[in-house]
Amino acid sequence: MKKIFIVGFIALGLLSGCTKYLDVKTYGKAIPETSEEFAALLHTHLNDIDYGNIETLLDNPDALLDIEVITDNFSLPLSLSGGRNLPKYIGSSLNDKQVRYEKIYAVIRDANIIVDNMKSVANQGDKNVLGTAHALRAVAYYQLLKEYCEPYTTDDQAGLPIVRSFDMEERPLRSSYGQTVAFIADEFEKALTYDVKDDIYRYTADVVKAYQARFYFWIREWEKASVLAKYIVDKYPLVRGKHYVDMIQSKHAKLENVLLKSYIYGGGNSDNSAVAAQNNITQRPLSKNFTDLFVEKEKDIRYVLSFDEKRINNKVLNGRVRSAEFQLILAESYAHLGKEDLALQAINKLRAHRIEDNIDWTVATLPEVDAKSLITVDAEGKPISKLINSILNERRKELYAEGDRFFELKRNGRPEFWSADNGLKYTTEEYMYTFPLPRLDIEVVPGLVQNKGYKY
Amino acid sequence: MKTKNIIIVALLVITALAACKKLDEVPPKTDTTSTKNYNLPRPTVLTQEERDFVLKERQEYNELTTD
Repeated sequence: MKKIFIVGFIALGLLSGCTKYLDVKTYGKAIPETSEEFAALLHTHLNDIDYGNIETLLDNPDALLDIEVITDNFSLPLSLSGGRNLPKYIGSSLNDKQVRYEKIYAVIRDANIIVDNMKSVANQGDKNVLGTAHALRAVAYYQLLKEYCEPYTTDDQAGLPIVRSFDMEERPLRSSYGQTVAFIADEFEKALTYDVKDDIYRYTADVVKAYQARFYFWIREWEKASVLAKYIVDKYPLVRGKHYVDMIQSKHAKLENVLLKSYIYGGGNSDNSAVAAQNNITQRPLSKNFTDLFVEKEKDIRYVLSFDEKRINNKVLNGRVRSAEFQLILAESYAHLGKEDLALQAINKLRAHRIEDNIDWTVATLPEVDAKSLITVDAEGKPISKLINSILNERRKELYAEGDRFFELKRNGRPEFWSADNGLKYTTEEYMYTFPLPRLDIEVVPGLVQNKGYKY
Repeated sequence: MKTKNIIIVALLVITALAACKKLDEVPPKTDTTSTKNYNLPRPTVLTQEERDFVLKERQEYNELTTD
């Protein structure tokens, strides 16, 4: 009996020694060690862009279809029979945005693992990995800011939960908008210190500067946006004619002044969905309100490139970062800074590359603002001027089918509008321009504040 | 009795050894796809004015496509 107790006591001691399972933080074997192992974390996400797999960092054809057909560029009532399954308005996909939020934070998680644990920066290979990790983190947070926060008005408004390191137990609350912006700005600067030039990492220094321009433009830092935009357009000049058409209609190849492109490799799992997206977009004609913007008709190279005589899409769907966007950022930034002459110069330069026999606009010859236009206030909340209205209309034509319109509406006043299908009215309300944080997070994390308007 | 003691001891040793199995430090990676939905406003029935607007849009498009 005594021996049994002794043995039992020893066994108990052995059992209680096994406390390793209580430790939830990861150590040792789970963390990469070499720069190749760290790089593997990046290439998962970069491959998703290259093969057009998922749209987390850059829209693939499927994502572009969903975000385009719900805007005022398209007409829901005119949908053909094959367009019944297309989203009717942004409300059709708002609940799905919860999954998108989680996917973006998964990119941040992997970037955090690299930034936290990669100690050696001995050579350019290491710098490429660390620089790209910072770039991905900056771009991911910028995407989240654009989609899940309201447009900037004050630094105190709600920003994002900022997760700087990999910790499964961490449940941060939302930082302020000002804190979020400061973090993102810092991340972009850190990415640039590594001066990534190897294109295999996709987010080279110039691509980072392009996103930095987009970021400053979104938060209304016009001076900073204009400096970066000028750098991009000077280094990647606008093209015209056949070069422009080939660049836009290229299904895979990244041509001319395109800095970054989704789906550059075909033959993977995305081929079927890309073909389907290109077919499905033809099931919803474009709105007359949009096509009427092409005043110069066939003299504007974008007229035939964008749609046919039945207002059916012609443009190849592909996520891109290209120079013309920064020409538009430059023009609008100058306009907001009160530099009218420079703004006109910038927008006229774009038009000269697009419209045959173009006559430059002057302050006196700018078109009037259409009273029926959805956008009535600019990004600063002021009544829209003829100059900014003209720039926004050029942007709407230039970046048609590139995932821009919805966010332009968000940036410029979040106008409510409705569309109709089968006798029912679907209204895009102001709050719907800001996507919801996942409901599971709201329920599990005490104090985490949801965006306005979302009920359950 | 001796056999019984041996069996008890053996069982205790086996249990002790099994408890010290090395556990995965990192939990298995899972894709969290379950979400809970938000309630969105139901679409409303068009007013007569809105119906007229939609009808006009369709008429204009029909004229365009049958020209």
